[in-house]
Formats: sequence, structure tokens, C-alpha cells
Amino acid sequence: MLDIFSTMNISASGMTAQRMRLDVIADNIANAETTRTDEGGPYRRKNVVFQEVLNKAMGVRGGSTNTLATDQLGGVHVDSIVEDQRPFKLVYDPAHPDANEEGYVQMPNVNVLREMIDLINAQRSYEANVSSINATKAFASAALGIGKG
Amino acid sequence: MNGFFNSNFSTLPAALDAASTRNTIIAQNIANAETPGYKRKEVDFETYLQQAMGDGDGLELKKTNDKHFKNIPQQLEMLKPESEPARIPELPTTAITWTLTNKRLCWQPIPYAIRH
Repeated sequence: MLDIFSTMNISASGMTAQRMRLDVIADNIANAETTRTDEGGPYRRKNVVFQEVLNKAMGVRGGSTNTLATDQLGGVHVDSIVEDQRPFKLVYDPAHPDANEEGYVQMPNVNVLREMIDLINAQRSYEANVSSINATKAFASAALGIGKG
Repeated sequence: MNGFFNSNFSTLPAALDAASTRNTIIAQNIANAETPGYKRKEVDFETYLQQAMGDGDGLELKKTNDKHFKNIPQQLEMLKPESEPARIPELPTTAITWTLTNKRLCWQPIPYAIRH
């Protein structure tokens, strides 16, 4: 049996993960036209990979293999930040210092429109986790109200 | 212990625990809404209730004869027609049999008429 704060921790882990996703999206938008990086070449779009957290160390209470005990649930975390391996955009701009012999510049493989959609998606997911915390809080205050009056 | 804090009273916290568990699972589902390969989890009270009613000892019907129904889900299998369906001869043109199709008991007309 999980206590009420562990349930809030699950939602908080979701909020943390979505905030990290927001950081990555902000980085992508900020570097949408960056042609120089430390590794050389233009900026590569980054993406977060989420992973579910299950506390395996806890005792398995369920009878069958596909049954979990609630104290195993640990929410979500960002497993890794991966680079988008799609090719760079080629833009004709001979005046650019990073242009090649034919006058083409390799621009980052960031689609700003796509990043804006991801941004809205992250925002809504964040709000969903906040709603979940508020519901849990309502549970707790309703339970505390039992002993009152 | 009799009175207000009897056994019924102790089931109420259990119901609170069950609702809280469901809340936890939903929180986990929302947190993992964008996790690749994640399958939503759910608290399956109904399956366990069905199991308890199906083969549990506590919810059997009382019987005074071996042919009485013990409990409903398994005993319905007894109504399966074995070789030939039972006929009701009073009906002149269409006979109706008891058959068990898709685990649901229903009336089915036999495609032939019974001659007198």
C-alpha cells in the first residue's frame, strides 16, 4: 500500500520529466539556426526518451507475473537525451562563412513548427500531472475530514 | 466485537485503500503517458470479484440435492446440449430448444417441424 505522498511523488516525477523535455525543446528552438558546435558541424536536434520507473527491490505481492504491487510504481524518468540522426537542411547562402564551395550551408535539422507542437504537448502533459496531484490532495483532505466534526 | 466498530466498519478503510490504489495507478499512467512501449495499468477489482464468485467457497448457493446449482457461472455449462437438443413437442410447427451459444442461454428454433 502506497501512502498519499508516494502517489504525489509519481506525479512529481512526471512533472520533472516534462520539465526536462521542455528544457530540450527550448534548446532546440534556441539553436534552430546554429551552424557551429563543439563537435563541429551544425546543431543536431535533441529528443528525450522517457522510461517507466518500477522499484524491483520491493516485494512482489501480486499472485501472477503480470500483477504488480502498488509500492513498485515509481513514476517516470528521462532515460536519455538522444540526437536526431536525420540529415541537415541545406540552405543556399554563399555569403555565409560556413557555406561550402557550392554556396550551400548545412543548417540544423530542427523544424521550429514541430518544436512548438512538442512544446504544447509537454505543457499539457505537465498540466495533467498537476491535475493528478490535485486529485490526490483532494483524496487526502477528504480522508482527513473523517475525524472532523 | 459488537457495536459500532464491528466487522463492517473495518471494510470501509479497505474501500478507501482500494480507491487510493486506483488513484495511484492512474497517476502512474498519466506520468508515463509519453513513455515508449508503456502499457496502461489498471486495478482489476471486477476480475477478482468474478474469481471469488466463481470458485470461492464463501459465495456458494445452499443446496440440498446434488443436482442443484452450486454457483451460477460453472453450472451453466451443464445446460449444454450433449448430442440431440431437447424438444418441446407441444409446439406444432417450430420447436424450440435450449442451447448455449457464446455462453449465453437463449431460445433457438429448430429448422424442422415435428410431425404428430
